[in-house]
Amino acid sequence: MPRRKIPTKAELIQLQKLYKTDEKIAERLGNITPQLVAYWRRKKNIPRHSFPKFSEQEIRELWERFGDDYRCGLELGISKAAFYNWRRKYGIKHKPAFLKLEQLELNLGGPSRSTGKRHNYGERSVAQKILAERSGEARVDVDEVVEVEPDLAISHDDTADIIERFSDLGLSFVWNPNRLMIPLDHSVPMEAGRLAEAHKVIRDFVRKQNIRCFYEVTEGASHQIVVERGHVLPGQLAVGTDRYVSSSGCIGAFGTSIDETEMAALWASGKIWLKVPQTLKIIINGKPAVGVFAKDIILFAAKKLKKNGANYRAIEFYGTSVSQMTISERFTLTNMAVEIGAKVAICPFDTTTRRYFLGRTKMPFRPALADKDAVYEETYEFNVERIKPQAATPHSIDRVAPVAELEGLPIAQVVIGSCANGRFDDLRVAADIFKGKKVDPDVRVLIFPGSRAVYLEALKKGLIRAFIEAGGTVMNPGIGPYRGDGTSLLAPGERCLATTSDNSRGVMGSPEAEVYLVSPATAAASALRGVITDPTGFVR
Amino acid sequence: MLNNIGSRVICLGENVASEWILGKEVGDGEDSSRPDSAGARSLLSRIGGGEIVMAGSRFGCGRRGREAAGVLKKAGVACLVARSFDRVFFRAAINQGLPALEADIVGEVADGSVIEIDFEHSRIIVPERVHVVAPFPQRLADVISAGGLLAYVRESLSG
Repeated sequence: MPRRKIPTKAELIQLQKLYKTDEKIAERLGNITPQLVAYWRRKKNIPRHSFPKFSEQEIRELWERFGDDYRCGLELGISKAAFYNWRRKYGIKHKPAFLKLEQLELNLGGPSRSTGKRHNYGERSVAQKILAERSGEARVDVDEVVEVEPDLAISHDDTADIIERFSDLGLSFVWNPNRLMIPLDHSVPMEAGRLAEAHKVIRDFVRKQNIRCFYEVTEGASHQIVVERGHVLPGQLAVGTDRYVSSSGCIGAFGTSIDETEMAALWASGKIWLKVPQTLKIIINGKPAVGVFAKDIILFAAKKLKKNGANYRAIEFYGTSVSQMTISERFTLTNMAVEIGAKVAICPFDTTTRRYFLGRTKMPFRPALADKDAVYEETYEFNVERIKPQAATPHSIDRVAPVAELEGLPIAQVVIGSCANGRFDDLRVAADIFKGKKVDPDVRVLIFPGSRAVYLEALKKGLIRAFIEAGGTVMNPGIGPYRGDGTSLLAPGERCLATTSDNSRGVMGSPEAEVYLVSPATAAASALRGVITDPTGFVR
Repeated sequence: MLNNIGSRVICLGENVASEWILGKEVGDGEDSSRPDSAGARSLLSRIGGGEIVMAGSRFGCGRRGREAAGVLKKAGVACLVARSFDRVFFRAAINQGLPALEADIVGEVADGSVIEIDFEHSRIIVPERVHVVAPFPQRLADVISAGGLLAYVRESLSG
């Protein structure tokens, strides 16, 4: 058998330039496998062909269209400097020969040619745009009542009650099983036989209706999963029976809560009535100091807005501080916004959101951005450069004080995690503070990762070990303690620091116990000392 | 659109909590005005049937909005009028067939007087004058005329 002719290094590089992948090269050479080509490459030290993320044609097209690095960058989700680098790489140096209409930014009024219906002037907020689209109307006004078909309907362990009401209507099938999401996250583990029965009813229903989006009790908090797995996309509308559905606003979606009867009606007809809310604009500027996190920022805002300062309103978060935040930090903002009465809280779509979804979903989506002349009921502006870590004191979320003022108060329990602060970066902050140290022996430390994915990642990175070695207890992934469940009860007079979102009287058992809401850093630092402690010294 | 409602009015104050409507302890941070003197009758005992309950801002705030709306409906209240409603309470009221109208006239109406609410022409006729209010949304009127959200859905599905 003739010996196979092995290409030289130069030949192989040329082949690679022409045919790019190992598979194609193998095809060209004939009678060999791609693995053999890979072997040759490895031996000759030739790296794999890397496909540039943006092809020359793409870059050139965009450049012709806009002529401006910043706007081209926005389209692709990269910065203007990055776009300039791409341009340089492909040798596109000069401004396009013919200026397109878009480049001139003329305010001629009326719909802009490039985007058609979605023009930027119409005095509409994000909430108005999303509700208009979902209700099929061209335009909706504030305080109008519209009938919408949501993109996602989320219900949790209370689905058993909803099923009962739904069957009272005499129907067999929900309007669209692909739009239902049923994560079981409240009654984990089972506290009563009744709940086990309820779960069985739910599972039977899921099977019969062919609902694909069903998460068993092992998955974690519903809102965490919704955002993690991209069940709601920017510009979409989600409704749910849980209080904190507005958390999905962190990615620029409209999320609001409804009750069980409404959910049953929605399952039947596929439509629900919603009142178009007024929108409040909250601008948060400034780079927060070391030790100050998103939780502290939103507590600071809650102090200014008061517990129901945003009653029945939609909130849009803007500002340099918000644009620098990760999706996880924005989740904390929108999650806690419910506690100041907001119906919807949205962090508008920007490059961070776009990058978040790059690898996460293949579904197309159209983000909704507020019009440039959108009308807001009120605008609040905060600068958070000089604020210190905050804590919400008992028994109301707007009774916020700097942690420094509360230092020295002894605590009995610390809860880290749960829906509001249960993501990997929250656990990481706490684990870094715990590393190598032990918590105070008089303090019970409970850690609730938000979801199974977070738990696994924490396991991989050694955070779970850090927690356990420090003396904490890592609980199952989920929403953490909530009113009425038995995971973290306090005796009268005991004080608890929690990263949850509810500190009203009796939320953790005894009405004489005290719950303070803090950021994970404050909670971890205090767990080490046994008293409420400012985390500024602990965070690097 | 809904038919006119003409009836006696019960005036309450600001921030009337849902817990207070149910006759329970009000949670922290929710002030509740008690227009009667201390030790007076609760709201439910004042309702005979067919009254209009009027209040100020954030009517129905607190954690028991759904229950409170159900209780008021069962007691036979004809209509709720307030400067602003708590969201959960408002939705529960509408979905149970209890009209809830937003109007800022609680300061100008005397407790116990007879007023008429004209939904068709969006006005409230009190003894001294006629107030023009924001129109009541037609969709909500449809839900209420059907007798609540579930009845409305049943009707719309049976075609």
